Amino acid sequence: MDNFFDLVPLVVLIPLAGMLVNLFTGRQLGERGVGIVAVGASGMSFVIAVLLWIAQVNTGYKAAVIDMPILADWIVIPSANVTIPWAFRVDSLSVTMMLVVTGVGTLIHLYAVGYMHGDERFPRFFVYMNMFLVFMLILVTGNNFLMMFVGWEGVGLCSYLLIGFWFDKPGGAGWRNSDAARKAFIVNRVGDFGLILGVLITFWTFGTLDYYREGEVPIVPHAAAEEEVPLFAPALPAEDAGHAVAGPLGVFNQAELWLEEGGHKVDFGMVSLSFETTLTLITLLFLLGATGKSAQIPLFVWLPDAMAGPTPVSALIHAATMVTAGVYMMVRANVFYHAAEFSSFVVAVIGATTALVAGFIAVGQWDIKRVLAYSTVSQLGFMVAAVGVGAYAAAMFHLVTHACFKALLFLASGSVIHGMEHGHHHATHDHSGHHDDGFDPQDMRFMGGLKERMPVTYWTYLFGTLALAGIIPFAGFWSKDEILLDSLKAGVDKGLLSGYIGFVLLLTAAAFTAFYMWRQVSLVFLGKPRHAAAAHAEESSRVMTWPLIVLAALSLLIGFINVPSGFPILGWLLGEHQFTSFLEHSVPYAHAGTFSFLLATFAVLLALGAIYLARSVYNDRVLAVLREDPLAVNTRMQRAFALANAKLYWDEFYFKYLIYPYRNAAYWLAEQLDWRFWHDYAHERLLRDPFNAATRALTWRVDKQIIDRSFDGLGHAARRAASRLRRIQTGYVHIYAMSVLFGALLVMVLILLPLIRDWLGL
Amino acid sequence: MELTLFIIVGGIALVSAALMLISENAIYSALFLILNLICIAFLFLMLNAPFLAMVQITVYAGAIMVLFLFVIMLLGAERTLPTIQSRFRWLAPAVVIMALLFLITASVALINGEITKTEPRKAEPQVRVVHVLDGVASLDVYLDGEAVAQDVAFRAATDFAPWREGEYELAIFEAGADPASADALLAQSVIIDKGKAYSLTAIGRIGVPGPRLVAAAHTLDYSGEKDGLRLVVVNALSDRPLVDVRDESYDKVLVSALAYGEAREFELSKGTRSVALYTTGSQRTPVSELPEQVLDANTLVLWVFAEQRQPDNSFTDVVISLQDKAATSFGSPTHIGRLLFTDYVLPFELVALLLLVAMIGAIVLTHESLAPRKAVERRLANPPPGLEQSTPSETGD
Amino acid sequence: MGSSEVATELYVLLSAVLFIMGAMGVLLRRNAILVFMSVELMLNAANLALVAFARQWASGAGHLMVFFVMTVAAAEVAVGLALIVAIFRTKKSIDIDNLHMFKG
Repeated sequence: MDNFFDLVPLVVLIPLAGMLVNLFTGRQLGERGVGIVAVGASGMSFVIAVLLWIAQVNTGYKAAVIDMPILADWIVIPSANVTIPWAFRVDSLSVTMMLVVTGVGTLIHLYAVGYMHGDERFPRFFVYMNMFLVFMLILVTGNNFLMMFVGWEGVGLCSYLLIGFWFDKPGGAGWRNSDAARKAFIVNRVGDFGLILGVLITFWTFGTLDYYREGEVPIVPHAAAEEEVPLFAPALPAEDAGHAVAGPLGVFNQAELWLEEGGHKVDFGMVSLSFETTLTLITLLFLLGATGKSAQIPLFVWLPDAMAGPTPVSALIHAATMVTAGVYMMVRANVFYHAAEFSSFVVAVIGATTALVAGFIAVGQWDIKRVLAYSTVSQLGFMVAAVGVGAYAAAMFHLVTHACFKALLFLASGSVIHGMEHGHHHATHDHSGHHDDGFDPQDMRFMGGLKERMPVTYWTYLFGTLALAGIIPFAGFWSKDEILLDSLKAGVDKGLLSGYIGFVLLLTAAAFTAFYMWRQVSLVFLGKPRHAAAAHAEESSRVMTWPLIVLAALSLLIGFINVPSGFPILGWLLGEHQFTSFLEHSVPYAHAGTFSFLLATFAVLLALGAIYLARSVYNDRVLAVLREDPLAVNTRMQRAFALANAKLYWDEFYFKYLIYPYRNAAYWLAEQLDWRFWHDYAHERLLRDPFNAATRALTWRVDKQIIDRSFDGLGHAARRAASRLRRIQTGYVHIYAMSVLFGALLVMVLILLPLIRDWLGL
Repeated sequence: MELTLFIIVGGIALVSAALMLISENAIYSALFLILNLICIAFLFLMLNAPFLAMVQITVYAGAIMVLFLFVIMLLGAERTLPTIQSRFRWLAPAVVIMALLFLITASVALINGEITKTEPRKAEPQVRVVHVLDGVASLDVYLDGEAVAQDVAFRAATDFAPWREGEYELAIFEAGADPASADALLAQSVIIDKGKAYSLTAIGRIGVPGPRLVAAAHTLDYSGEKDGLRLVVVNALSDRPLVDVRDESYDKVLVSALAYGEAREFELSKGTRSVALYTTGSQRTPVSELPEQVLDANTLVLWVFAEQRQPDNSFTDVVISLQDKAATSFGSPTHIGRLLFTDYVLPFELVALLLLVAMIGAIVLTHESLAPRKAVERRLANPPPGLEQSTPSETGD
Repeated sequence: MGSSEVATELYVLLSAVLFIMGAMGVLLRRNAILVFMSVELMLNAANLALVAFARQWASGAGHLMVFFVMTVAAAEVAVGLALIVAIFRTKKSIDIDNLHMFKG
């Protein structure tokens, strides 16, 4: 089974091959060929991921480090003893991520074949999609932080390319799309700056970036208390001049050893920080990276705008996989976060706050995809908060379940949009006198009653909604419940403030989640159609609905992989916290939670209450007559709704206090410093004017008076000499012959000069 | 004798040249020039250039001058008296001054120069070995310890081989003897010069009168007028101190009073000869005979009259006759032809091309339709008034 | 070659005298044909010097050079006489003093 691990480069290489094939032959292959190549590449990757998972299970969850064949010595600086290999890591965490990325990715690829049908840049879309898979898989399979960073930047690039995929849409939509792409890219730059700084400090501290070295076993904290340190190598000498030199250990075990030893210092030239402080610094910088990629406060603003991209992109990149990279990264660095308590506190607070804020904003949105985008931000907040309270397994569990049901919701919303567009086309075709009423296929105000027109979409959407709302037995219930329980436990058992804060905020956010999701179901599917487009909407094609059905099934079932201990019947039936035990082999601080019947009941009842509330606010009778949100016309809720609708003025705040001041400063610098001072003063006074003066002097004094005159003089002299000399040219042969003879005589005399001198006695 | 001839011929050449220059009639000038050319051809002959002399007369004095005469007669230009006085009065004195200057310079160069002090280039010397030393089966010959020939049988000779000039210590050993340890049969110093081909002939008898070496030399750089046939006779008969070599066919003494161990070079016309050797002063019975010798031109011939001891202790005469092809004589048509088709093929081709171009040129120039038109000629002779002032005075401003 | 040979210097001296006589003919005579014949005289003087030096140096190169000079002279005569014929046709004269249209 061991040599199955050698397959891991193929996980990356197969999508790469698919990308290259489509890149160079996409136009010749046609839509069908491009689809087969792209989906095939993704599917084969998934098969290999499954094989790796089986290999993991059969080898007792052994971790393996596999070198890439050609790039094995990626970066080698012998003088500094630095080696950063291009090595893949196969352990339970990376296999989990691979399964999610390739599994959900394959379904979304399949769906996209239907969704993108007829697009003029069909091959390019799938080139980008496969490229995204390549980088995402590099991100999750790399065995060092630098490979993760490569993947991290690569997925950022793909995200940028795909958000702006329809950059040439007419009527300003293209501009909005490319603006959204730029926004995503620039906001992510802030986060990436934090990540690369964190990576650099990590390198300085440890002298390596490898998570674990080949054959190294993570120190398991619970076991460490009883046994001796189960490492294969003795600890390093602690001190070194300058930055650390790579030892035989990877960063995480080295960190554990230094923490156990205590008193280790990290030398930064000017200052010397204690190892714990360094870890806090690293983890805060990593958090900055995560807030960018995983859309947390304060950098979450890009994600809702990123919905400008095609819906499969939203599902794959901006819901299921890429945005979870931050969570994956923090879970990977769980050793650091476990040690850095302050950072963990910050992480928990940011995550929980984001969950609540995004949930609140989602209530006030009209755009079907925007609601889901805020929902994604909110759910990512759940995951980050889980990391913050030390519930790494719960975070990963929620990541997996969320990938399934959020991908489902996005794809279903895409199906709705597709149906609406179809209906709109149908309606305008039938009624030629139809006037333009500002129809938007994504605006929920134009929908309603789609339940009858699009049954498959409705039922799958309902599954996703219930999973997201956390209704038992859907997937979201299990993962969300574990996060809530873990944060409460962190507060009660460990006395962590972040636990209490997180629990309260997350519980509120969960209620909001149920509310806005049911609001969405009511507006989109229930009641009567509020627009001709909705009335004429049609169910999407089979290639789009089959992935929905598969994902709906996953949304129902995936939660059973991690049934908490103590859950009646099911725990005995399916085994308790299977996923957590699987993850524990690579995430040392993952721990299983026990089931709390009280909390579960309370959470489910809260969600059901929110659903009931939503249903009563958005009932069919009100929606049939009202073209506005019922909350907007309610005097008590009016202001709150306006606040949510305006996204808490978050963007405006940024514009007013960050972007405009920054732009003004830039303008000021450009105007005053660059233009006025540098161009006008420095260039004109110090460069142009002396240059002009010198030029003038050269022109008049040197060129005109000296050079011109001397050459004119030469010319005149030549002409005068020529007019004299031409008289020599008499035209008489005798004179010419005479000249020749004279010249010959002269040459002869010259040659014989020594003899003549002798003869003359000179 | 030659000098007298030179003075006479050179005088005629000078006088004819002068007469050519001052003749009013172009026909006379041409005839004097022909005389001059013939004189020069004669001088070529005196300078060992018979081929060039022949070409000079046929091509120059013949073909070219015929062309001159033809053109003169064609144009009726035999008498062209100057219609107007030459406009360059200073030309004649200037020319005379320059001529004197030229002659003075040339004379100075000739008197003070080193024309004759420079030795002419001579051919590299060549060496061969001839063995007629009685009593030794075969020989090894060394020059300054370096083997010239090894294992040369009696009455045999090696081929000519190039050798360096200089003075050498020659040593002759019995074949197979070690030159470092064994006693030499003969040790002697010889001088090897440039321009000669040496036949190192070992003669004599072991015992009395002892071995002896004759360095018989052929002259290589030959410029004689005979057929280039050069002979060397060696007298190796120890009991006949003086001999004569007679040409029986023409009844003529070729070499007289040749001493023992002496070699003598002489010339002969080619042909078939019978040669006999007599004791000097006697014509009755020849000592030795060489009947019906076919002698070709340009050959180096070596006759060695030697003796060989018989089993009954008497001696019989042995004659060796060797013929080798010599290099062709200098200045002969063969010599020039060989040079022309070996080292000078490319210039020869170029000259041939030049002649072709000249032919075409002559046709083009004299062809009516191709001659320059009158209008063009007039325009060139009298440029239009505007042309001379056509250089604008504003240029350069 | 005995000592009776005439010295090379004498030949060269004769050659020099003939050469300068030819040069004087070129410069002083105005009949184009005579100018040409003088050029031939100069060439022959040069040839004589070449042959004399060839004997001195025992080198065939001098002879070859003379051979080539003769050939070139033949070519030159062919072209030159053609020129004279052409000029005579237009000018009705072969006085070279009448030919000065190439003046500067």
